Amino acid sequence: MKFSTPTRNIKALGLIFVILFVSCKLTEAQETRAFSYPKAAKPEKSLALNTGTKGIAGVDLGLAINSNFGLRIGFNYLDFKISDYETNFNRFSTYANIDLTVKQSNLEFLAEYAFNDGKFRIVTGFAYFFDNMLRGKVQLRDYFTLNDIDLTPEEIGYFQLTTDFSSRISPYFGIAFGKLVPDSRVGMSFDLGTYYKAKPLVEIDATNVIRNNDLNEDVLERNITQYRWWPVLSFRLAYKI
Amino acid sequence: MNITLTFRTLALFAILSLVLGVQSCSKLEDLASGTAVYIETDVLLNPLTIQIVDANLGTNLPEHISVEVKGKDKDKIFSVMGERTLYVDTNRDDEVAAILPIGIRRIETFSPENPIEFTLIFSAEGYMPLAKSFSIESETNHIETVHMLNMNTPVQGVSKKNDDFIAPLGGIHDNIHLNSNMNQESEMVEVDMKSGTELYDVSGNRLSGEVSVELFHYDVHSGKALDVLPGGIFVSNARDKQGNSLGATGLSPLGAISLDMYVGGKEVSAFSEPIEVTFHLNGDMINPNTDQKVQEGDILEVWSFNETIAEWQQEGDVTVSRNPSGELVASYLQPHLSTWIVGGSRGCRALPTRINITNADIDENDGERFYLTGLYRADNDELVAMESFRYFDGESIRLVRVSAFDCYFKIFEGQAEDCLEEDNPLFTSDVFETCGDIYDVDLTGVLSSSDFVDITVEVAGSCTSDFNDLVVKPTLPILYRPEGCNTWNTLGILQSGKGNTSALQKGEFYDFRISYRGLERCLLGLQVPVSNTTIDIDSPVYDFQETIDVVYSADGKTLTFIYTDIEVPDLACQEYIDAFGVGGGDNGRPLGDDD
Repeated sequence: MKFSTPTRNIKALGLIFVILFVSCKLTEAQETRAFSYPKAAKPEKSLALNTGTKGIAGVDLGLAINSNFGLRIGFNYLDFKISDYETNFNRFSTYANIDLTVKQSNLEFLAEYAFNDGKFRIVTGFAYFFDNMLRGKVQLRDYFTLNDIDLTPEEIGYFQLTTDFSSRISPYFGIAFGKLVPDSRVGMSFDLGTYYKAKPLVEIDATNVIRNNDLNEDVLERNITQYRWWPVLSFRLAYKI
Repeated sequence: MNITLTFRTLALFAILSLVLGVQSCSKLEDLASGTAVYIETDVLLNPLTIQIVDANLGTNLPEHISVEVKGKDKDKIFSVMGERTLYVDTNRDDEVAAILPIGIRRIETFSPENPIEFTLIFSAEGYMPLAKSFSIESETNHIETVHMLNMNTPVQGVSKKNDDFIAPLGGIHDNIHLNSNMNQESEMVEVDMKSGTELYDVSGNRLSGEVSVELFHYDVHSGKALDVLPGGIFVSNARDKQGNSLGATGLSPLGAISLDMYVGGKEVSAFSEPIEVTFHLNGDMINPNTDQKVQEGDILEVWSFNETIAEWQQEGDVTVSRNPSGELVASYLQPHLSTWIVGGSRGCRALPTRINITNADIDENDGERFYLTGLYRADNDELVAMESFRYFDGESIRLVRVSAFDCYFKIFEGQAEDCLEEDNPLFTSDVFETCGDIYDVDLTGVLSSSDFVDITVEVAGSCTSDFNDLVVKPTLPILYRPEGCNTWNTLGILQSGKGNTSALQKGEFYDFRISYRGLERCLLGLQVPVSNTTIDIDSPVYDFQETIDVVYSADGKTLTFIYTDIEVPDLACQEYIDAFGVGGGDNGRPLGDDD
């Protein structure tokens, strides 16, 4: 098991706070110059449920500081396991069983700047991923015939790839359509954005006939490093409180 | 089926699904860029390699040697390529030894407490069929040697007598008397058939005509003679008079005979009346049942070897008597032909005898060197078995599962059975019983290897992208012998392309051989360089050349060869793919064409 280092976490956190700080200062400066956005007498709040690629289910608390600036804190649940998914990729005569384990539940902190009467928002922030792990295990589904033996999938072996990330904290950038706090009691919005994941750490576990494929670990880690954007498409149902 | 292609694609699919979520198909190739598919050669485990030689070492073997598997675990035995039929590898460059690697599936469980036990029957034209019991208790490959008896040139200790007579329909007219030659111990065997006896084949059909007889009498004092005794004297299983299984049994014969008769090419199997067999016994022989010299009135067991099931069957008992000449004899009636013995047995239900090694000089991770080890009978110092062990600290060895007599063992400097000095061992153990006991032996300071070269090897062969960048890292034993010797020993075992041996001496010449079910290579007369040099390797089979740089380290006795980027010829890649069924998709395309 590989863990992210405290130093990297601190750096990432620092980066996020700088972004948030700059956003706040920018907001203040704009308010000072324009005097065109009346301050809300009292921040409006919403409690929302969401679903999408950042979580099977999530809940967040939205806080509209004023008509432009808002904050969100949320929890996204994305832990699941798919066992014995069978596929032949529509091309092979042989089927494989795939086990997928995803542990990407996170706590996110977002800051938003709203335009167009709050219906379009620019969103930034970061998320803290609790386990931050992805795992795929592939094994033949059926027997493999070698001359007079029907070898079991276990005899052939399995290939398991686990990806951790060097930091549990990932910055988020995106846009949102719809209001953070709905005008009426209930409102709908959706987010489009991406997390920027930390450097992936690949660990391969392979057995028996394919046991030496762990030698691909470094190459795959290098290749996967290019793909660090975790796309987010999320629907949010908010209740004004 | 395309196993490499499947695994690669499945793995990449998993990565894509997990990490990328939504990526275009073209990214898959980018992600796989630079990866290779590592496939092992040991689809099955190869815990045992059997070397087959003529009992007269150095004699050429026939090209075709067939092997039949018997015994309780016969269904667990395969070739290393998963074939139910076992094929013996012969090599035109080395016709005096044939190699048979045994394959076991990885799902099998075995241990010293629960070994895989089976018997192999070796047959070849002109040779006495030979059944040998084997026991596998760990995954580590070890080599055992089987000596086959050429019936035309019997080994020392085996007396052969040919005879013939006429057997008309209705039975033989006169009494028939056959006898072997008297051996040095004044022992022999006589066979008598009464007039009127009819002969039958295995199906019970009456046979008539000229009968040719082959009578083999085994000198039970000779280790070589007992080694070629059909059925052997160490067996995984034997049966009592009622046919009940006795388990592992050691036999101690005082007389042994193989009698074969043929009529018009058909083998005689049984008689209308039993034939009488009389062994002449030496009075100095030890009765294994009493541990005293054999004497008149002693009861000896009579056993026959059942070739159908490859097990010894106790037929009854015989009382030792004196003939009119005052000689000790054991006489019994024999209803059918095969190999028969009189003597005793020892059955051990307990675990096999183990010897725990203490050796501060050799660690398990040191370079491999297998020391030839002879097991000797304590009562007559005859060699009864030979195996090789590393004797590293903490190793636990089993020389024999069960023997009917007490034994001791010798460890030799020599690396081939026919080139060792039996009278000059590195170590001789105390006498021990062979029935489930455990002994501790300290070999510290005994097995010196100061003038041997420590060689580390790492090899991997890569196929071209036409074969999906397949990388083969072999796992198999490499055999060697000093030049001029005839039998092979284990040089070391490559594990995923890595090996380490300290069995070779600088400046000496050796032969090397790999036999792995069709993969048959022999390099003869290679000298271990005495100084830094380069060696050009030309494959006799493929279009392949490689230059090996031999560079000794500062200590002058350490060599490291790392060749992990060997470009494997396409032909070899194709052969590998064909052998393991890993080539082409379901539409027969070559590997790599997975778009």
